[in-house]
Amino acid sequence: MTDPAIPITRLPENPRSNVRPLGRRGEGFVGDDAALVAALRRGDPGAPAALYDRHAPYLQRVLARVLGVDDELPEVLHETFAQVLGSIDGLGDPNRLKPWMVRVAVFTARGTIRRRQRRRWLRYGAPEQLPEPTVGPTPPEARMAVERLYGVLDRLSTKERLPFTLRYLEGMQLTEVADACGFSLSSAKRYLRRGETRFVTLAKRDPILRDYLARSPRFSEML
Amino acid sequence: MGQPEPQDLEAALESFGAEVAALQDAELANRRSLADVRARLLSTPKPIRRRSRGPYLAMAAACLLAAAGTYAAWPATSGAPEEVPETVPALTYAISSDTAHPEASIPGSPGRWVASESTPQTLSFSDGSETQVAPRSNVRIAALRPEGAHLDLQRGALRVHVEHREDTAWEVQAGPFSVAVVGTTFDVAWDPDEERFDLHLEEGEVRVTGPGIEQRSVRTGQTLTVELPETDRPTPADTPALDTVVQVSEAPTSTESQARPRRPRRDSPAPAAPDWRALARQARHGEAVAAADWDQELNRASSGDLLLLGDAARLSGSPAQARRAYLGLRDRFPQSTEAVRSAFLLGRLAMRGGNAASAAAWFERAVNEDPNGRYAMMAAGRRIEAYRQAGNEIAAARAAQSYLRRYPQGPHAATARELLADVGENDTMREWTPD
Repeated sequence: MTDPAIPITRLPENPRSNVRPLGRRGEGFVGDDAALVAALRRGDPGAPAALYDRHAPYLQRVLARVLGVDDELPEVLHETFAQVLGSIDGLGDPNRLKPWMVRVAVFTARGTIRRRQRRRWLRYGAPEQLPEPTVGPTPPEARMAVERLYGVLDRLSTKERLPFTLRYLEGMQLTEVADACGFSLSSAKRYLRRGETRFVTLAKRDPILRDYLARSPRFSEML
Repeated sequence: MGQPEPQDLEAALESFGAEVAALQDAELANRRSLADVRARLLSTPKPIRRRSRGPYLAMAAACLLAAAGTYAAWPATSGAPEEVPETVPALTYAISSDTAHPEASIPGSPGRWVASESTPQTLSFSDGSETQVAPRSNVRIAALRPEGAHLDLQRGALRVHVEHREDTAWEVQAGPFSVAVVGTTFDVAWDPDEERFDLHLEEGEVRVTGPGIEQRSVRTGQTLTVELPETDRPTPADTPALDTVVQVSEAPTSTESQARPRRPRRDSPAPAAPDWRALARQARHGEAVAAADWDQELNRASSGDLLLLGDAARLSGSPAQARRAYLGLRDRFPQSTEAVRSAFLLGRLAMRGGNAASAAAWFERAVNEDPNGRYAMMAAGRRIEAYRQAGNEIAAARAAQSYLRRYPQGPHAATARELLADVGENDTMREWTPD
């Protein structure tokens, strides 16, 4: 269910899945995910590139939803793939490669959030270390609202933040959310409900985010 | 402004989330990060020049003849390996999963990930240093310098032996903790899920820096354990986290220390009857749990050993066994400090097991049994979250108020204040909440 007041231009789930892999090392691989896993375990030289070309765009989006788009995102994506490639033998059912990779990505993102929380004091003590604002196609007003959104998400616990971002930003179903987070379905629901409540409470206190949300008729009734 | 209906809130959040996702996708499409990461991930590491020393030539030759082992490793350049001047040779190393047949090793490269699943991996360095990667561990050889290597342990345990030379400078990063080494033998472990750091010095001295401890030297026979607080609030790294558990203990007996080999030996047979205590102190938790005679230990072991056994079980992913040890400890030594810590850890186990009500009860006990003890503040903080997760908002608010009265600057203070602020907007809670 979507709000007609806000245009939605969500990209397809895997926009590059039908595109020929880039680069020489990923060329020529044919097969489903189970075949890809077998190729990785055999040490086929083109398999890592094929894995990356097939799944990196989606994993990058999942990480972006959880963490936001910033300069650290490539590092986290790199770390995710390093983890995946380093532990591919630990994957049980090769047909579940994608959900397994999503879980690795989510757990890597969780570690990143915790590291950021521990490092956050630096932002106050050393302003010269603040990252430069990124320049992109997003209008300033929307960019500011997204920044405030992630400011609010920083105040949620990781158990609240992960289901919230995966459910509402990435659009996952609850079962997918639970699987990605390693929660039971009931726990995922509980954390999601709690995250919703906390989000609304905190968003009400943020004038920029509140005003941005209030453009939507649905939110304007709540804020 | 009333409370929104759940379906209205979901629809509004779905709509807002989709808009944010579209903005992010536009941002991502404007970046080259996918291609950049791909290039880094798939790039062939630069060859490292070998030292022109006789013994190392033999190892290099073995590397060239390497057969494919059962290791799982992947080259990566996260945090580009440091440049080494052409005239100064950096260390090299080889990876082997079969210590009985070192010739079956393959050459490693800087930036490589080594993931050990079921069998330990051995990294043999050209300066004579050696690192064993325990099963279920991930480590990255982040940099190779002439004077040492930089290892980044993401998960699991390492046994590290560093050959001492005048200019030796090794570094082992384990989660947020950094271990500076000039020549020693030690075991180090990092559990990112529990946020627990363990270090046992068999020989020598290292300097450890990290959250909650600033900088600390650890010497021969000492064990350093740091458990970070399970809080989602930022902890200034320049002040020790009040909720952080830091334990430094001496080796219990010199016999036990001597019983362990000075460094891993490829041709030495495995000990016939491993001492679970020694295994636990080496962070080989699963092996310790398997080696212990549980019935005997539960009836005879000291309170400290029962705590050690429970910790080994907990950290090896055996919560039922951990619970058995902690409950046994509390049964036999109800007045001990270890009993209080057991109550606290039983609370954590219950939380992780999804039984928040039980967790809250254990945290209550930990607070009440030793209100001024070292675990009181941690238990008081986690009690708030446990009650909250259990859906007992009233008890959570009471716990939050109690916490703020006692620890207004504590690590859970922000959580407590936010909870009370949230509760303040709820009419039901306002009825009972005192001023």
